[in-house]
Amino acid sequence: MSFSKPLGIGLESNGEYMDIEVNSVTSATEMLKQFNEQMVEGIEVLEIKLLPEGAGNAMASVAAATYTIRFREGYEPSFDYASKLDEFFAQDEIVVTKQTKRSESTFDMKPSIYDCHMADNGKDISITVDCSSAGNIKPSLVMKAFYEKNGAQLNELALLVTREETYTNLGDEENRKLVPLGQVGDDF
Amino acid sequence: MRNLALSDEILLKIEKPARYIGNEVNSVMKDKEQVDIRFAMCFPDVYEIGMSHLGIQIIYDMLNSFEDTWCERVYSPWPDLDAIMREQNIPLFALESQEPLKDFDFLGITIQYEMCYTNILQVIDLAQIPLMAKDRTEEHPIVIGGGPCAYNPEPIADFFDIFYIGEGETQYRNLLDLYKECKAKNISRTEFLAMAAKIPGLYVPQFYEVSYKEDGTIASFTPTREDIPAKVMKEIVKDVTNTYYPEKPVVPFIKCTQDRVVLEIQRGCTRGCRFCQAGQLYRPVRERDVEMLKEYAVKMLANTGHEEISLSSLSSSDYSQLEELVNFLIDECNEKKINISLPSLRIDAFSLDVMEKVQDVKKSSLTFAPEAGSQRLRNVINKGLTEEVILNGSKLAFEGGWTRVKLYFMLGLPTETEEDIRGIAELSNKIAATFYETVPKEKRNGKVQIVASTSFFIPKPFTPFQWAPQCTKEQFLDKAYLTKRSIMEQLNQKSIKYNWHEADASVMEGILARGDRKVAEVILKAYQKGCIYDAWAEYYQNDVWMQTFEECGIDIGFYTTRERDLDEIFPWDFIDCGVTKEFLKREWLQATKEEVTKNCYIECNACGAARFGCGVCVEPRKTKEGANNEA
Repeated sequence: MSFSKPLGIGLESNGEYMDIEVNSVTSATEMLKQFNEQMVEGIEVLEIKLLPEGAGNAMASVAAATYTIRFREGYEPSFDYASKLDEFFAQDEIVVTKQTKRSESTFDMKPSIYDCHMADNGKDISITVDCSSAGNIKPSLVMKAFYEKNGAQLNELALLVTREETYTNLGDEENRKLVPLGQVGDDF
Repeated sequence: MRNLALSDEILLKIEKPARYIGNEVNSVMKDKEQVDIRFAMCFPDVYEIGMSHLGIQIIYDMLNSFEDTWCERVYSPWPDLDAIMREQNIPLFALESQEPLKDFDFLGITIQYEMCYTNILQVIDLAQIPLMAKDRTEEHPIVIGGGPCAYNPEPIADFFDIFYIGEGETQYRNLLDLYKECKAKNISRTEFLAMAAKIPGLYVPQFYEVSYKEDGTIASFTPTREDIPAKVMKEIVKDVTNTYYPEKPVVPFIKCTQDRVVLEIQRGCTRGCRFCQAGQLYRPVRERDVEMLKEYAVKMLANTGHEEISLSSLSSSDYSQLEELVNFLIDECNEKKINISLPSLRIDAFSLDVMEKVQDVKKSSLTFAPEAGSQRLRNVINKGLTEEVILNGSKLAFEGGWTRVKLYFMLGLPTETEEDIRGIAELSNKIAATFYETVPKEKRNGKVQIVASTSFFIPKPFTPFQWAPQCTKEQFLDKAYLTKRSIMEQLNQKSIKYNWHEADASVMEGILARGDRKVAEVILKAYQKGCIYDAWAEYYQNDVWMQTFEECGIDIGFYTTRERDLDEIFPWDFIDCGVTKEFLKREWLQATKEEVTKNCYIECNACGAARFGCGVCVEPRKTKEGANNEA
């Protein structure tokens, strides 16, 4: 059994994946039912696909994820974020400082943010960012930069983050072709 | 989704929030409108420790099998959450419903070790229930304690409404029925407790009065009401096969200390080591039927998805069907890649063969518990394990590829001399030498690793050593230094690593273990000064404790180093644990004469436990291999 990028504490998700290896399979419908009979409240298996024999570890190929960011009641940003978002994303570079246990480093996050827009409801923010093991970007880091650009300080508690989808990249570095992990493999 | 007792703001701030959210696989949810009794079962330590405890799992399963009762779990909040709950006045809640304990009917607390006493106060306090039983009213839950420390409940008697003495499977139904009846008839809390005090095994401290002699020892211990029994007899499950056992243990979301299926194969021990409290409390030995164990093993593994199963008992090698059970588990588990763990096995050809099948020899180590360094002292403590058995077992193991040996000893045992202590070093050295004699140079993969650990001996109630003086902290440390020096003098000292325990906490544990009602004041004050998690070295505040004893005018030597008179009335003497005081006295005298007492399987020593009419006391005596007191 292997998991893709584990979800951080306090985050929600509608797009988590795991690979499992089993001795035999029945049908996806049957297995879905069996899984969900064992799940605790709050965890539901949504779909099951069959990977070709020798497909390797699909989880290692995780490339990107889409997140919806909502604001906790009473914690909404002090600035008019809906109108400022495009301007933020349009920047040539978005330099942030990343703090690790040992050191502080600055880097340009822009190439790792693949998409950033207001959701249809006009209130939530949707972002798609690098989620590979080498270059994972936390949604809160994007938001921190967004706040700072607008002269505000982010309280991480303000964010209610939902991971909507996890993708693999079927293209290459230059021409990304992000495909949800659930579209890899076959129905059975 | 359920509502959680703690807000996201708090959950995101504290360590391991999964300790407090419940909802684990196999946790039991009921409709609170459909039950009559709300029961909160507490292990007063952190979640990962408490969730590892089998006793609670048995009681949880049993109480929830009653349709009219919903049993939920609660553990000690870690100090980070403890501070927040006090600051924000958040009442302690049960994991399943997330509702405050103060609205429950019962708060049950299992008391597994003395050093959790301040955590008991922490739980009661955070639950916003008055700490002293006498201050509780009809609105408050009944606080009931059980487990091994309930065999000397006196230091914490003021904080409990009831203690349940003995094994939990037998009397809860009667207690709950009485509770329901009293509630229906609007009978007062005090009268309910008075009736509960007449249920076998239940002790209600407020109905007993203690008077003391001038020297501080007990003059009398008597019930304050005529119809309340003067002696409380321990409860025992006579048939351990046809009884409650969980088929679906709760599976935690985070890694716990005991992260596996636990199969209790038998209760009790026939070996009669004189320092061991469990060996006396759980007499007589009762085995579970092997077919039942096989059935539960399969079901529990299927219902939990655990990747390991462990056999639990005080001395697994004595279980008569061990070979059959282990072979069954090997067949069952190998196929599913499930590990088998076999603690407390005697090292012999059979166990080494089994261990080779279930463990990675290179990674695992061999464990012996000689407890004392010389044969003389081992006779005193009635630990029959001989040097010959240890060296033969080690030789066999070294031939089988093992290179690591763990040895457990105690320092400060009654009659101990410097020579006995040096024996620890010498025995460790001989085991190392056995390795170099047994394994030829070309086959060695580095040195042999011997790890010798010593704990400090603490006399416990209901053992033959309950009369024995305990060492002072200074004596303990001198003994540890002597052990260390002696090991350094050995030829193979580079192959021997030595660890010893904290002396401070051992003294403290000794006070609480043989304490009386006078100690309650100190526990309460130490708690009020901020002592919690005393069992955790990083939180234990010895200076605060010692200062509090002084403030209360209590001499710790009275509880630790004092030599007790043979006829002294002990605080726990009102409990009848099956084993008689006469037997313990006989054993204490035998010990001073360095004479051993035989294993129950070989002959009956008339300890008193035969009164229960079960287990080894009534089954035909087996002459089994290894029953001649090797451990």
